[in-house]
Amino acid sequence: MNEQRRQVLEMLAAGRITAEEADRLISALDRGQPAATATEQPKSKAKYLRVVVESSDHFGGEGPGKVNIRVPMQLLRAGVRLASLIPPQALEHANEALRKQGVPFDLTQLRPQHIEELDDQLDDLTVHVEQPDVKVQVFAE
Amino acid sequence: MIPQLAVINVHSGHRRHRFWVPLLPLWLVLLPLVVLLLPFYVVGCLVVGVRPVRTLSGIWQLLAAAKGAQVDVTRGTTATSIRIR
Repeated sequence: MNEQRRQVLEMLAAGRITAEEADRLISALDRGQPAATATEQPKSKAKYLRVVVESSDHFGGEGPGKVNIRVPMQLLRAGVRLASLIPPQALEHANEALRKQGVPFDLTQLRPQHIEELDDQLDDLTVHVEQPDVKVQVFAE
Repeated sequence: MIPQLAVINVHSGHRRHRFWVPLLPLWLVLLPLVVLLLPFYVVGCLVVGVRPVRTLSGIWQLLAAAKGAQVDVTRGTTATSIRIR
């Protein structure tokens, strides 16, 4: 009996995992693949949203420029919460202004209960835009 | 807790300056002003139909969440960095 198999059986004996989970783990060990376990650490949430803009353009001969902004996720959450307190008539004005700028976004649909969902989506967000003289990266970390 | 310190780094050529700006005195200076403006704020909120207490709480949360924010700008040999702690 190898060490990993013994550990699984010990966890089963200690009641830390169910028989089904033990079976799944042993099957995974047989296949030589890692398995998702009940004791697996949950994926840590991203704490910051990073925006990096690199420009190779030499404005006024000063050399290439780089802007690196780190925004705490908490700030985004607080912003969404605050936006939900704005009266609907003001949001309509903002929507109209956004539409004029070619951003068809409905701010009235923004609700505090959507924050968690937004948060989960941001964890996997990576935007990479590359043009000859500008490179933009947006990602959560 | 709202941010207590802003660290500003300026790196220009061979010169490097670092400033620690304590924000607590700024909040203490602004506090009496906030108290003075509170009645106007409440009246303004009621006029536009915004809940004053929840909005104030939202603004406080926004301030508190600013901790950890960082902006770095580099241009040629000059680099400026602002970190909120």
